[in-house]
Amino acid sequence: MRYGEDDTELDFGGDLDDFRLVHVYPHHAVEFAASFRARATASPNSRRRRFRRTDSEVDELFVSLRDEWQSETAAFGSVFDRIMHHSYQRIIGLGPQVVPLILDELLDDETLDHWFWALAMIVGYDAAPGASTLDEAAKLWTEWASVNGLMT
Amino acid sequence: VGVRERLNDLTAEEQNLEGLFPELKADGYEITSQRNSRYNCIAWAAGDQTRWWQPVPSPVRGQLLGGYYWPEGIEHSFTLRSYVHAFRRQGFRVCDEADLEDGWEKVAIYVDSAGVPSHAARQTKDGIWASKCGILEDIEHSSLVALEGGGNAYGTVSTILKRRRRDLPSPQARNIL
Repeated sequence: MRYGEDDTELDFGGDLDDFRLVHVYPHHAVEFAASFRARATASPNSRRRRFRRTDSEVDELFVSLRDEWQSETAAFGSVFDRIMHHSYQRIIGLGPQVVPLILDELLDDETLDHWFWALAMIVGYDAAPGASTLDEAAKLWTEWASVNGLMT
Repeated sequence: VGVRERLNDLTAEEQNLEGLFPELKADGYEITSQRNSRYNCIAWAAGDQTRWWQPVPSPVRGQLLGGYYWPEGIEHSFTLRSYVHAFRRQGFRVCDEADLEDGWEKVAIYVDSAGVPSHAARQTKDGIWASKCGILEDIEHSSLVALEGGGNAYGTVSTILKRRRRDLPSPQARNIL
């Protein structure tokens, strides 16, 4: 049984039963289940590996979530409201794999946006303490990434 | 002119703003800048176009997150009280009326349905209002009502503050002149 056929059940099958929490976002649950069900077949012996996304999956998801976040929150006066948007939270949920994509966003003057909360949440570190402008913070984050060999 | 022709005449920016703020078109407005993510409405109302004024806490250090500005000594909270204090630090004082007063610059703070500050607008010398809409464009709008409402709009105007216009000589200086 699949979500959409019957709203009361979501069948991930086997080891994925823990993920009933995705009931909160039914349309995401469908993607999630389909993607990871395929992986379960490809990596039957490694439960953790089934949950790793490929780089191209992360690239595609990031662009889609970024565009949705920017278009739905552009008028918000509060950056706190922007970072609480579900798409931004899902970008954070992509974890370390998304950091290079966010760092690339900081390099473009035209599209510089509020990525510092996401970076700090994923990395567990504020690389720009005391920076009072977005440009200063972007510079400090990219310097931090360069020093740590994360820009190439 | 039909709706479709009218929509075709609008720029993408105008369509976007009019979709977000239903009262804007009827009220009359003008876009006065390109979009910019580097400063917000609070900074704009306080006369700063270089920084994003908001007490955004760092998720890892418990202090202000790098990239944001908040006047030193003002409480780090998303409350009307904190925002009023931030404007008081810039020389503003709470007042009753949004009407134009010669020699005074006014700011209006909007709050959402939970009473949390959502926007600030600044009155121009001509008595119209200037706003920076999130990371979008600066606009001038005829009245404060233009940005009020639910959904993506900014709620309701809660507090008006004013300070002497800085581009005018002080009353003492004017007497000397």
